[in-house]
Amino acid sequence: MTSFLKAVLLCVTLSCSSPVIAAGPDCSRPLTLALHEHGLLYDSATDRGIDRDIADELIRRSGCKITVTVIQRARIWQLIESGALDFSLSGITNAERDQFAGFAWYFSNKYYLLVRRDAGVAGISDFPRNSTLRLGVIRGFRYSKTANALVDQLAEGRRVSFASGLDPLYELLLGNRIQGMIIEPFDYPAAENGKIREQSSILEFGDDPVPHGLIMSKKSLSTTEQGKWREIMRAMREDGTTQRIFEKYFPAELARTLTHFSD
Amino acid sequence: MTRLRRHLPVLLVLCTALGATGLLWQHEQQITERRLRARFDDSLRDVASRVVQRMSTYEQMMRGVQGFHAGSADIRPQEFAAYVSSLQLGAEFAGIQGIGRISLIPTADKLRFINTMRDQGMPDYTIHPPGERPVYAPIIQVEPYAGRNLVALGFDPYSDPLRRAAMEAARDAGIPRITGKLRQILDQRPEDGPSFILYAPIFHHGAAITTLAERRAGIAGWVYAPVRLAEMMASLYGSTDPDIAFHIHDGIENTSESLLYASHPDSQFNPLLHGYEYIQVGGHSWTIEAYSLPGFAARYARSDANTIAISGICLSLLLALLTRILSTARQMAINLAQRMTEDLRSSEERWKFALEGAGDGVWDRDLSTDTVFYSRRCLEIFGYVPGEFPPVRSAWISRIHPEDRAAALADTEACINGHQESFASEYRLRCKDDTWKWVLSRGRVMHRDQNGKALRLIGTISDIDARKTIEEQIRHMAQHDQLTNLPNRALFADRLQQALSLARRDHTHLALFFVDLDEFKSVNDRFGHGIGDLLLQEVAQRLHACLRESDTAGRIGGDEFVILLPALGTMQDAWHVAEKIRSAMAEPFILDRQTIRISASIGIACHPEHGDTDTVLWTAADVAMYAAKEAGGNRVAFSETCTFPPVPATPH
Repeated sequence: MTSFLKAVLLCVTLSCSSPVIAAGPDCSRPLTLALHEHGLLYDSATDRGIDRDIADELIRRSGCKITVTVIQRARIWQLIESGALDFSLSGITNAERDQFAGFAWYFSNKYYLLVRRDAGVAGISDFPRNSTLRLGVIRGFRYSKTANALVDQLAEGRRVSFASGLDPLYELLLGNRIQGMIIEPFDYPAAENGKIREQSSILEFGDDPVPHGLIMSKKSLSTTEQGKWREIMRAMREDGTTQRIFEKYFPAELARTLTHFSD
Repeated sequence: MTRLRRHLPVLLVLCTALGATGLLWQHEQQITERRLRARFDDSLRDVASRVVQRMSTYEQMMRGVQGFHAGSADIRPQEFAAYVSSLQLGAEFAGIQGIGRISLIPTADKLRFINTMRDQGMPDYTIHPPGERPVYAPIIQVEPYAGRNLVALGFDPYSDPLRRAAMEAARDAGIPRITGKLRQILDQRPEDGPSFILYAPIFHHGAAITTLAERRAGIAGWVYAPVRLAEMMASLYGSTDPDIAFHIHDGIENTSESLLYASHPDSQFNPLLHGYEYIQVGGHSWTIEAYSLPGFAARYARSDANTIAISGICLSLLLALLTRILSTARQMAINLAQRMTEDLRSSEERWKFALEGAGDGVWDRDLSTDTVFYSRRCLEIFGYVPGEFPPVRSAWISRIHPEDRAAALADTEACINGHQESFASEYRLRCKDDTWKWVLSRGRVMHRDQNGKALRLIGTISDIDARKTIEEQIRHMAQHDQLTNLPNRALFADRLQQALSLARRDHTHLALFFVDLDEFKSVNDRFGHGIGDLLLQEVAQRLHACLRESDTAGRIGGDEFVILLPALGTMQDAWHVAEKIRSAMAEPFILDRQTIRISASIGIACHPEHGDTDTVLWTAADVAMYAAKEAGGNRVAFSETCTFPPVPATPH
C-alpha cells in the first residue's frame, strides 16, 4: 500500500514538474545554447556550474535536443542578435538587448567592486576621482545602474581594460595593471582565494539586485516559443528546482536570496 | 585709444568668428578622434574575438581526438592516422603542425615500451632526451607522419617543465590546455617564430575521472597539437586591418620574452593609438596588443576639421572685412551728421546772432498744437524772461492792442491760408508792466502737409516802439506849430475838412473862428521876439483853456489863430465861446516879470449859415475877423452873411 502511494505521488510530482508534455516548445530542430566561463556559473575546467545545471534541466524538461557550447560573452550577444544562437544563460537586459533578445528570469543579484587595498578607494565614488586607477571588465558585460555608469565614465576616459573572462582580470588585478573589477556572487570563490583576498577588498554598489535570465534570440524563436520557454523557467523557480541548483554552489540563505525575487 | 575704439567692432567680430571656428574645429577633431578610437577598438576587439574563436575551434578538435580515444581501449596507429586524416586539417585548423599521441610510461616499463615501438616498425625509436626519470611521456605517433614531424618521435615533453605544466594542467582539468610560448623541438628555423602546444589528456579506458584524484590516477597519456602562431594568425577568418599592428603576448606582461606574435615585427612604433585586450585561451591569459600605423590615421582621419578651419578663417576674415566696411560707412555717416550738425549749429548761431544782434526775437508756432516757441529776445521785448510766459498762441493774442488785433490776426490768417507768402504786422503789445509797445511781427509758413495745410509758422518780432515814437514826432512836427504846439494850417485844414464831412452827413453845425492879436507887432518891437514868442505860447494855452476837448485851435500865421468848434448847438454858443476867448486875451499877460496887455479880434463863420465848404467858411471868417479889427479890435464879429441877432457891443 505504501509503495503504491509512493508510486502515485511520484507520478503526480513528475506530471506537475513536466508541463511541457502538454504544451512544450517546438523541438523539431536542434537548438543551440552557449555558456560562458564565469566563476560559479560555469567552469570549463570542470564542466560544472550553475548555468550548466540550469541548461541540463532545461534540456530535460523540454525534451529538446540542445547543443551546448562555450563561447565568450561578447560573442554570445552577437550570435543571439544574428539568430545564429538560440539561447544563453544568466543574461541581463538593457534597451539595446531588448531589441533582439527575450529573457526568462531565474535569479537576481547585486554587483560589487573588487578593489585593491593599496588603491586608496574607500567608497565607489573614490575610484573615478583618482585618474591613475583603471577598471577591468569583461567584454560584453553590463551590470547594475551605478556600475554601468562607472564603467561608462571610465571608458570615456580610456581607463577600462577589457578581457574575455575573469582569469585575465584577476591576473591584471594582482599585477596592479588594474586596480578594480566588478564581480558578482559567483565570483566569490575566486575573490576569496589567497592572494586576491589579501590584496583586495569588496565594495557594494548599492543598486537594487539585477535580474538574470535565460536569453532567447528573438530572431530564431517566435514570441510564442519564447513564452513556452519562459513557462519552463517559471516552473523551475516555482517548484524549487532553481533554488536547489543554487544551493549546490551557495549557502542556503544566499541561494534563497538570489532566486527569490519579484519579476 | 580712439584708434582702438574705431577698430574694436572689427576685432570683436574677428575674434568671435575665429573663436567659433576654433570651437568647431576642436569639436570636429574630437569627433574624428572618437571615430578613430572606435574603429581602432573595433579592430582590436574583432581580432581578439577571432583569436578566441580559433582557439575554441582547436580545443573542439582536441576534444574530438579525446573522444576518439575514449571510445576505444586500444587505438592502433593506423586508426589514429585515419582519424587525423579525416579531420582534413584545412584552413580552419591552419597553424596546427600535426596531431600526436603521447603515452605515459613508468620507468619500469621504459625498455619494454621502446622495444615494442621498435617492433612496430620504428627500429630507431628511442626516448629523448635521455636519462633516468620517474616517468616518461614520449611521443609515440605524429600525424601526418612526414617531414619535420618525424623528428618529434620519441621526444619526451614531460621532461620539459613548460610542456609538463601544460600537460599536468590538462590532466587535472580533463580538458585541453596550452603551453606558454616555446620553440618546438621540431622547429629549428628562426623564421618559423614562436609556437605553443595544445595538450588534451587521455585516460585509461573506463577509468572514473570525476574528481581530480581520479583524473590523476586515470591518466594514460595525451594527444597534442603544436600550433605555430604566425600561421594561425595568417589564417584567421576575415581580414585584419592592415594599418593596425597586432602583437600577442603570453600572459599579461608585454615583454619581448612574452611576445608570441607580431604582425609587423620590424616596425618602429610611435603610435597615435595603442590598446590592449586580454583573452583567456586554454587556461592561459593572452594579451592582444594593438598599435595604429601611420596609414590608419591617414585612412580613417578623413576629418572635416581642416576644411572647417580654412572655411572658418576665410569666413571670419570676410566677416571682419564686412564689419570694417559697415563700420567705416557708419563712421562716415556719423562724421557727415556731425559736420551737418555743426553747420546747422553755426548757421543757427549766425542767424541767432543776426536776429538777436538786430534786437529781433524769434518765434516758432506749431499749428497742430497751437503752441509757440519764443526766443529769449522775443520775450525780453515785452518784459518777460523764458519760462514766465505761457507758450500758447492765445496768451500772445490777448496782449495785442484791441485796436490792432483784428488787422494782425487777419494778416496772419492770410499767410496761413496761402493768400500771401509772408506777413508783416505792426501792432501794440501790452508789456509785463502794462505799458504798450509797438512791435513788428513778421512770419511765413515753413511746413505744409500734402493738402497744403500749414503746419508750422516761423517769424520774428521787432521792437519798433522807438521808430514809432520818432515817426509820431515827425508827423506831429509836420502838423503842428513848433512854437505853440497847436495844429498848423495843414492839420487844421484837414480837421476842418473832416468836421465838415461829418456836419454835412449829420446835418449839424460847426463854427470857424479867425483870431488875430491886436497890436502884437508893437509887443515884438517893444519887448523883443523872445517875449513875443512867450506871449504867443501863453495865448495858445489860454485858447485851449477856453475850448472843449472836441474843439481844435490852430496857428496859421505870426499872430493869427484859427479855432474849429464842431458839433455846435447854436450860433449863440459860438458867440459865447468867442467872447470867452476875447475876454481871456484881454486879461494882462505877465511875461518875464513884465505885464503886457493885448487884445484879440475874432471873426466867426458858421456852417451851414455862412458857407458849405472850407474855402467859403475860411474866407467868411477871415472877412469877419478883419471886420472886427476894422471896427477897432478887441471884438467878435460874425460873418456879414450872418442872419443871427446882432452881437452885443464889446466894451474896450
